[in-house]
Amino acid sequence: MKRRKFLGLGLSAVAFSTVASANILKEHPQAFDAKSIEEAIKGLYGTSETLNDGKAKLKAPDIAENGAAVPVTVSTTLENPKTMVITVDGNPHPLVAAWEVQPGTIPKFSTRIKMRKTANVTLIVEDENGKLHSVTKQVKVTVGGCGG
Amino acid sequence: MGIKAIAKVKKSIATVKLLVKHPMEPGAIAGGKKPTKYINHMTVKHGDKLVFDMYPTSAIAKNPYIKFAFKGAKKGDMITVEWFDNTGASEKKDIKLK
Repeated sequence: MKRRKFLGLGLSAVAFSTVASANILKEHPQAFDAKSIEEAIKGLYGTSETLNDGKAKLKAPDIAENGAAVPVTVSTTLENPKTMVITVDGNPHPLVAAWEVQPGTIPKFSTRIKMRKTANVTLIVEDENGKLHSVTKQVKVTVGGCGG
Repeated sequence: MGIKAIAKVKKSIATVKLLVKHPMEPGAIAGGKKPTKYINHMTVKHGDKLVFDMYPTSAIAKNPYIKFAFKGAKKGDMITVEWFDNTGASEKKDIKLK
């Protein structure tokens, strides 16, 4: 009886997580418009508690001459990450980009981001159990690149 | 608009570099006057299998560059890249892995 109940719980948890990760923009639009990192992360995951345990990896320059295109590479040593999110605390909207990673996809992405000024770039990786892992790096920006 | 790609397979791992032509204009978000126009969803499939979804914002640099990799690929396989922006524009492209 107990086993059956446990399996049932497991199934409903799987079903729920599939729905939740179907489209994080549609599910959590407010996180993308958030004005602070805490608000953005809470908006996405319901908690802003992250582990700084070295499992999230972020490659970014120490100094960026052009804030309009700062190269960053995000990756993780976690086995089955579900989502990866880049934030920049000096931008009007700190949430820069989010990825939903599928099994078989190597959890490593490179892109170029905009930074208005010298700020902290943070990568948050959600593992298969929903725990959040983070890493932060300060990038000095000589010429800001957020202007319209 | 336009999607350029370099997509290569080595030992069943595909490495793809994408360059998408798009203004990624933050407009009022960054205090500007131009209309806000940025890609807010990009999806990549390998055949029918989803590789990843990316949700960019206007803080991704103009003409977005994205590099990624996935397992289980072979030369000649097709991937599909599709993006959507906040104004309803979209573009889809099939790319052959070399």
